[in-house]
Amino acid sequence: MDQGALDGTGDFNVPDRRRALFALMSGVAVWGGIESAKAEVVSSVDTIPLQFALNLQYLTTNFLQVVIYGLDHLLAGDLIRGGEVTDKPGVQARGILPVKFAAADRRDRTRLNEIADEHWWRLNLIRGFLRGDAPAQKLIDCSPETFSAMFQAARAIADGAIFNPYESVDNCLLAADTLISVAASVYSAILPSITDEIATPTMASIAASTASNATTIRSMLFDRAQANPAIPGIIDQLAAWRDRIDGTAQTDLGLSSVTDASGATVTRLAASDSSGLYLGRTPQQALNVLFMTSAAATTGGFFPTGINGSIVSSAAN
Amino acid sequence: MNDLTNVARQQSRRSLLALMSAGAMAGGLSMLTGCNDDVVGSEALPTPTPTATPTPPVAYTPTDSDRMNFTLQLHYLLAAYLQMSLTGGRISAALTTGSGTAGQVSGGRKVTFGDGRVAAATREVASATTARITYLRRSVGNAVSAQPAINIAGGQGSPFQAIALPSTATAPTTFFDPYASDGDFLLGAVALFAVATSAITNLASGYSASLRGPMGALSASVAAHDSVFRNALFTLAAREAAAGTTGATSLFSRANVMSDGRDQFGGPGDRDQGIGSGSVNNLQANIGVTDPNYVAIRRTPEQALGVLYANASVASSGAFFPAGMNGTIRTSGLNS
Repeated sequence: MDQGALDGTGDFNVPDRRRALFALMSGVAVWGGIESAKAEVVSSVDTIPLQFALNLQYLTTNFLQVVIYGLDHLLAGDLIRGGEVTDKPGVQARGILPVKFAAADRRDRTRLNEIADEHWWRLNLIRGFLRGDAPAQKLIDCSPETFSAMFQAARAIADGAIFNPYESVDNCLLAADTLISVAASVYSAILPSITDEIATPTMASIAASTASNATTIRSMLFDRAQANPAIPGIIDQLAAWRDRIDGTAQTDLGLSSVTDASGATVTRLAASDSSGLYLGRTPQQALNVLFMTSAAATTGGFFPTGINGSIVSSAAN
Repeated sequence: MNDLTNVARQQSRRSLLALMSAGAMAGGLSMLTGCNDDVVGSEALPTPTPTATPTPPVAYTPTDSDRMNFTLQLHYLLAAYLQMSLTGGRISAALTTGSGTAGQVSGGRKVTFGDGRVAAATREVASATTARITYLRRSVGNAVSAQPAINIAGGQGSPFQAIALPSTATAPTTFFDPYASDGDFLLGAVALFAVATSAITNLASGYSASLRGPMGALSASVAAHDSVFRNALFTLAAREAAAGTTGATSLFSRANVMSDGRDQFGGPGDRDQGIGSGSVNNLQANIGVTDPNYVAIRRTPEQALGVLYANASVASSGAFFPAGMNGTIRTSGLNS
C-alpha cells in the first residue's frame, strides 16, 4: 500500500481519508465535504482491495462493452463516478472502438459477448460492495497508440509499428487477452486480503469466473491460430514481457503448445504454474503491466493520470 | 380428513397412536390438532415423525485439512477420468496413499480422440490436475487421505448414466458412454469439472488467511481448466450447429439435459448450466456457469457429494464413489 504516492487529485486522497476516518471514529463531522457525503453509505470493511478491483473492472468492462456493443456502451457517468452521489464524477474512457465481427466469427463474438456482460454485472456488484467508497474512474486510454507501445515493448511488433486492436477480430482478442489476463491474475491472488463474510466468497467466485474468461479468450486465440499462425508467438512475447516487467516470480504463461516427455503435444490454454495453481499478481505488479513500467510509478500506459483508491503505485522491480 | 378428525376426537391419544401406526393416517398433524383431550402428561408422548422427513447429515466443523482433503478427493476422481481417457491407465500409485479406505479405479477405457487438439488440451488439464494432487498432498502432510474406490464406468447402470438425465426424463434406450468420442468425452469432463469447480470455489473462502492465497489460486485454476473443456465442447457444438445438426442428439442439447441431470442431486435450485445453444444462423454461448450476479456458482460439499453419489438425500457413498470418499467431508446433504 503506497499511500504516500497519491497525487492529490484523487477523490480519496490521504488527508481526506484520515479526516473521514476520524469523523467515523469520533462521531463528529469534521470533514468539510460531509454534506455531500451524507447520502452515501460506506459499507465494506475490505475497501482497499475492492477499490483496486473496481479500477480493473473499469478498464476491462469499457473495452469489452464498446468492442462488442458499440460506442454507446462506454461506461456512463453513474457507473464511473466516485461514491453514490454526483460530487465526484469519473472521466470517460477514450480510444475504444467497436469491432466488426463477420458471420464466420459468430462463435467468437458470442463468447466475447458473454464475457462483456459478465464484466458489466461484476462491475456493478463491486460498486455495490463499495457504495460510498467506490473510487471514480480516472482517464483510461485504450487507443491504438497505447496498445502499440505495449506491443512494441514486448517485441510483439517492430519499433514504430502500429497495433490496432479494433481493426480485426484477431487483434481485438489479442488486446482483450492483455487486459483480462492481468485482471485474472490479480483476482486469483486477492483472497487473503478480503475478510468480509459476504465479500470473500463473492471474490472467490469472481476469481474463478475471471480465470474462466481469460481461458476462454486464450481458447479462442488458440483456435484462430489455425488461420493465423502468428498468434501464439505474439502471446508468448506479451506474456514474457509482462513476466519481466512485474518482477522475478513467474506471473504469466505463453500460448504456444509444448511437447511432453513422450513427445505428445500439450496445450497451454490456462495460465497455471507447475503446481497447477493459477498464476497470480499483486495489485502493484498489475500496475507495472498496466502502467508499462518496471519502476514504482503512479501513472502510465492505460492510465495516463493514474488510478483512484489506496493502491495507486506500481512496484519497484 | 373430516371423518378421521371426528373419529380422533372420540378416542384417547393411545388409541390414536395405534391408529397411526397402523398406517391409517396421512395427515398426522391436523389430526393431533383436533385431539386436545387435556390428558396431563400426554405432551410427553413422542411426536410422530412422518417418514417423508429424512435426517439431515451430521453437523461437522471442517478444518483446513478437511477442506484440502475434500479437494484432494475430488481431484482423485478428475485425474482418474482424465488419465483413463488419455492412456487407459491410472495415476501413479504413490500419489494415492493415505488415511481412510484405499481403493482402485474401475470402469472406463482409453478414448480414441478424433481431434488432436482435444487430446492436446486434455493432456494439459490432466497434467495440471495431477500437479494439484501432488501439491494438495504436500500441503495436507500427515493427514493426507487415500484415494478411495472410484467408479468411472459409462453405459447402462453406470455413475455417468446416473447423472446424465433429469428424473423427469423418459427411460432411455441408449446410454451415456463418455469414452465413445471427443464430444462424449468432453460432455463427461464438463460434468465432473462443473461439480469440482463449484465445490472448490465454495471452499476457497473458508480457509484461514495463510491458505486463502494458494487455495484461491487453486480454485481459479480448476475453473480455468473447466473453461478449457467447456470451450472445446462449445467449439464442437458450434461446428455441429453450423452444419445443421439440432435437436435432442446435438451436443448443445445433451449438455443442457446433462446439467439438469446434475441439478436433481445438487440442489435445491438450479446450480448448473449447459454450454449454450445454436442453430445454423444463431449461436449463444454459455461458457461461464454463473449466478444472477454473474459470478461463478458455488456448491457446498454436501451438494457436490449429492451429484457424485447420485443421491438427492443423505448418503455416504454411491455412484462415482461406491465406498464413499475418505475424510471428514463425505456425507451428501438433503439436496432436493
